[in-house]
Amino acid sequence: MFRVHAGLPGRALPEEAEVTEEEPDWQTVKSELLEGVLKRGAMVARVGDPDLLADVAPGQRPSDLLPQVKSMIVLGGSAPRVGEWNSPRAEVLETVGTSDRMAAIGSALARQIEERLGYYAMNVPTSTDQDDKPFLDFTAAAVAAGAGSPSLAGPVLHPEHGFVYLTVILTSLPLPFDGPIEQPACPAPSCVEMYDQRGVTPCTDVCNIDDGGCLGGQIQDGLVIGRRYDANRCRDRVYHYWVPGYQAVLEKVLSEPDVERRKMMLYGSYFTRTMWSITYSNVSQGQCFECMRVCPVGAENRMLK
Amino acid sequence: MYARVPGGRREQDAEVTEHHDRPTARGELSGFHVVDPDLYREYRGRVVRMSNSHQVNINEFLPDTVRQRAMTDAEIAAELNLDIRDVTEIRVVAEHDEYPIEEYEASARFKDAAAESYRNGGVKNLYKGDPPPSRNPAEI
Amino acid sequence: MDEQTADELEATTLALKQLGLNSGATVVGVAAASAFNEYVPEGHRPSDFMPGAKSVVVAGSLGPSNAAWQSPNRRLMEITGYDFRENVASLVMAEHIETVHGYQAMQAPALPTSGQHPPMSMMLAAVLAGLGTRSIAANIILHPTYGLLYYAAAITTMPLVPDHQLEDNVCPARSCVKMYELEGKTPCMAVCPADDGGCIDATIDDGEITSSYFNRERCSTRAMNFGIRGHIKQVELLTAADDIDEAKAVLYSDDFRRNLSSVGRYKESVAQCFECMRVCPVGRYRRKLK
Repeated sequence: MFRVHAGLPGRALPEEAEVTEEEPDWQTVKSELLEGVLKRGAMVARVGDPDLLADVAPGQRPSDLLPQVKSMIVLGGSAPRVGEWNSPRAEVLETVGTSDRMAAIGSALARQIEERLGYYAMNVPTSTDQDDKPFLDFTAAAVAAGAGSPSLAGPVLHPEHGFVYLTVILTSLPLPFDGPIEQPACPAPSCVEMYDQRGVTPCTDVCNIDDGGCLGGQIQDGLVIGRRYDANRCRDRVYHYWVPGYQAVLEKVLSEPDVERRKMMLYGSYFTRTMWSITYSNVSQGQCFECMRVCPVGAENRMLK
Repeated sequence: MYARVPGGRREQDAEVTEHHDRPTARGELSGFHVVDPDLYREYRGRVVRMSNSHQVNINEFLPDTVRQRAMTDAEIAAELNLDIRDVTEIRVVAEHDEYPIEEYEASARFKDAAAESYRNGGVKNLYKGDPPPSRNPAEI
Repeated sequence: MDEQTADELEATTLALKQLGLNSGATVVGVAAASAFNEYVPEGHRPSDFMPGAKSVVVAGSLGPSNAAWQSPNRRLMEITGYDFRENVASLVMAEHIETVHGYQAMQAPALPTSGQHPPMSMMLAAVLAGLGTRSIAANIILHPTYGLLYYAAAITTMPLVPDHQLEDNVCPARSCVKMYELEGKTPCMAVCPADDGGCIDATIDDGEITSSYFNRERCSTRAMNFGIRGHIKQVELLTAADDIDEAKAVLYSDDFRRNLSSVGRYKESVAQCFECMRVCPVGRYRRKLK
C-alpha cells in the first residue's frame, strides 16, 4: 500500500511513512481500496466525479460537505437475502434490514483513507438533514460513479445486482473516475414488453399512483418518461412504523377528547409497533419493498433453491 | 385460573371461521385501528386469559395432556366471534394496561432489593428456614 | 447442488456451525423446520416465512459480561448491553448458505411486530435445536453449560443434519430441587414469587417440573423497566395533563429521559432484569473469574 504525503494540515508524518516525490499510481491506490471493501462485503464499488453533481440542489453537493473533495467512492451492497425477498410475510423485510452494514464499511474505508493515506475522507450520513432532506443526492452520486442508474420505482438499480443499499465516501484523494454506465438498468426489457402490452411495468402495476399507490410513468423508445411519484405516500410506506407513524398517532391522540380512546390509541398495536421500529431503527430503515420485490433487475440472482 | 385451548392444543386442522365482512388483507390487519373502549372493557379479561400474557404449562417437557399454548389472535377472534383487528387491539392494549406506571417504580425497588440481597448473602438469603449445608461454597 | 451423502451433509452442517462460532456465536445448533409444527400454530412456523423451509440454524451468545454480573450496581448490568453476536452469526450463516450453497436463507424475524409477539419464537428455536431447555425462571431457555444465552436464527431451504431437543431438562438443577423440598420454592421462585408480587411459579415432583406459571406483563415492567412501555405511559400522562406545569413535571423527569434514552440506545438496554438468573445455579459458576 502506498503511503503518500499527508493531506491533512499540521498532521505529523508517521515514522514509517514513505515520503515520495513522484505522483502515486492512483489507479493502484484505487484498486487496493476498492478490492478491500469488496472483500469486506460491498457488492459494488465505483468512483465518481463530484463535479458531475454541480447542478444538484445547493447544500446537497459533494463540495457543500467537503470543500476539498476530489472523488466520490460509491459503495453498494447488503441487499436483503433471497429468502427474505421471497418470503410471503411482509414483516420479514420490515424487520431484518442491514443497511447499516454499508455505513460501517463506508466508515471503515474513510478511516483507512485518512489514517493510512493522509487524505480527507468522510462517510456521508445516510440519515436525513433538516427538512428531511438527505445530506447528499445519493442517486446522483451513484449515477455519476456508475454504481447504477435511476429507476422508475425510485431506487438506484445496479445492472447486475439490482437494488442495493448505498453509501458514499467523499475524499480529497484524487482517484480515477469510473463514470456513469452507458446502458441504464431501468427499464428492463421485460418491463418494456409489459408496458407495450398493458401500459404498466411491474412496479407501476403493484403500486399504481392512480390506484392509491406511489408510482406512475411511461416508457417510450425504451426510456422512462413522465415519471410520477408520490413521495409522501411512499415515505409513509417505507416508514410504515417509524417516526412519521409516531407523529401521526400523537396527532390523533392530541386531538382526541375522550381519555379512553386516547388510551386505546397509545397502547394499541400500531403505536407499539412504531416504538419498536424506532428502537430497532437499524433494521427498520425500509419497510416497503414491494416495487423492488417485483423488479426484474437482478432478479436472476434470486433464483435459489 | 387462566383458560387455555381446551385439551391442551387446538386441533391442527381446526377451522378458523372466515367472515366475508372481516378484513383479512394484510394492509388492513396491520394498519391503524382503534378498538372501541367499551368493547375493550367487555372482552379484555377473556382475551387476556386466552393470550400469552400469563403463560401456563408451556414447558416442552410436560406431557401433551398438560402442556398448553396460548391462542392466536385469529383463534381468539373465532372463539369470541370478534373482528380479528379488535382482538389484536384488545390484546395489545391489555398488555400495556395490565400494570400502571407505578409498577415500573415498584419494579426498580424490587431489583434493588433482590440484587442487594444476593450481594450480601447469595442464595442463602432466599431461605425462610435454614439453608442446607453445602460442601461447595460456590454452590450457595 | 447435487444430493449429498449422509457424511457429506454431516460435514457441511458442521462447517456451517463452525462458521457461526467463528462469527461470534457461543453455541450453534440446527432444528428441523418441521419440528416447530408440534408447538406453534400456523402463522408462526418457519414454513410460514419461507415456503419450503427445511432447517433453522440457531445461534446463541452470552449477554452481560461476567464482570457485569459481579457489579454491585444492578443498573449498570442492565445497560451494559451486549454485542448481538448471535444476530451477526445468524446473518453470516444465512449469507453463506445463499452464496456458497445456493439455497435460500433468511434471518428469522424475531422482533415484536404485534404488541409483545414476535413472528417467530427464538426460544422455541433454541429448544428444538438442542441448545437448551425451558426453565421455571420466566421460561428462559437454559443452556446446560452457559445458562442464559440470547438467540437468533436463520431459516433456510437447505437440508442440514438437525440436532434434537435435549433429553434431560436442565431445570430444575439439583440444588433447586433440594431447596424446593425444603422451602416449596426454587431460588428463582423465591426471589420473584408470583404469589407475592413477582412473576414466577411452578411445581416440582420427583425432580421434574409438573406445572409452571409466568406472568409476562409483570416481568415486562422489570425487564423493560425503561423503554417503549414506560415511554408510552408517560405520553399518556402528558396528553392528559391539565396544565403545562403538570406536563413539564413529566417531560423533564429523569424517568422520561431514561425511557427515551433506552429507546434510542436500545443495544445497551435490551434486558433490564436479571434477578431470576442471578440466583440460578445453571452456568453461574462460569461467571466467577479472577
